[in-house]
Amino acid sequence: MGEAGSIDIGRFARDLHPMVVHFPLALMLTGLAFEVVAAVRRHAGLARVALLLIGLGFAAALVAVVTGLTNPEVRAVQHTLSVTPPTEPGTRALFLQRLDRIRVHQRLAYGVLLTGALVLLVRLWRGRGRLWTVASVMSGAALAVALIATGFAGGRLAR
Amino acid sequence: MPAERWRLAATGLLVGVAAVAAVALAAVPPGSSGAPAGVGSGQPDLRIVGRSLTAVGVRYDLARDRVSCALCHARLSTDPFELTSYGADYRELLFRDNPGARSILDASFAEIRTAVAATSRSGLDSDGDGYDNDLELRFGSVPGEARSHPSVPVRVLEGYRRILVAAERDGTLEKLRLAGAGRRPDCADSDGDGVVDCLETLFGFDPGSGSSVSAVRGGRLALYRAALADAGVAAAR
Repeated sequence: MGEAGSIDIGRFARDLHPMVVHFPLALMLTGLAFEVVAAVRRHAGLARVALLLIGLGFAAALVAVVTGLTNPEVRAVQHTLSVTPPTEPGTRALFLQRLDRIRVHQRLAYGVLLTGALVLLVRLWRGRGRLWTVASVMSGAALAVALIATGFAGGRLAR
Repeated sequence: MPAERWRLAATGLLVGVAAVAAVALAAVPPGSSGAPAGVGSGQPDLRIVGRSLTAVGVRYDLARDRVSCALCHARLSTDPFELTSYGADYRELLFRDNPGARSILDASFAEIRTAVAATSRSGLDSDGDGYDNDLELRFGSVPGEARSHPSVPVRVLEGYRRILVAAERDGTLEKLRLAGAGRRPDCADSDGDGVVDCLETLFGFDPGSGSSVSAVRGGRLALYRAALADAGVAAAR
């Protein structure tokens, strides 16, 4: 246990993920909102800013996933499960539930990376046809849903 | 064309990330990890349960490796609702002040902290051992177990508490902390339990037994000792 004034590396590693996750959420959701405004006002400059924000948010999402995967709490939960005997079902149930919640959050986070990549690909290769407009709207909506769901699942873990 | 090359490079990168994410997504074990039916649909989450312990730990600066759910739960592994006398008092106060709460999950952290404070109010002695809850937690014994209390007489510890509360209020404790009084005192730790002998003796724990140890962090006890010495308590010098 770290005394006052010392730096606890384990605690820092655990806190890193909650610190980083706000960036992809804020950047990508703001980017998507800017895109809507740019489309309504037909403002090319705003559309470029929106793309930049989504791109930065995607980079932040990569960092968030890496810090999530290296979060020591996941290993701690798995370790505790491995050393808790079956004769203590109450304790095992609590840790199994925690692990389930972590996995749900993990799946959703990978979903954010997938839809984020799709959103950027669509915008990189976007043509003039109606199909591209539909693809842009659909992928943007999917990303927004994935972001909100991941944030919600993560918030449930942090409560 | 540089712009076209940049677009192709970005496409390659994005497709690569998407492929890795898809593989990782498929690699996460599907469905439940094996949690029994019912878990996750109303039963308390580990972190949520931990809020009460966190509130007590923060209030009294307890060492994380010396306190556990056993502070409130008599047999958590078999029956989470079988509480110690301290846990029962805490539960009663929490629900008395929050009548709308159906379970502990409905209580906010602020409400939990208020209930912890109420359970520690002066005079409430859950286990009836003569040492009230605040006194036991302040010096690191278990408030829900009558056999667990410091060997120092109650009136002596109450005197210490008066001095420490006054030192907290007038800022002496903070001044001492900033002056480095929370450092480990220069005396031996015979039983290797993490709290040095001079602190264990002062606060009524057995320096020769690893099982008799204060749950309060050693640094906090050292700070208490410095404040008592500062107030002229001979035993703390």
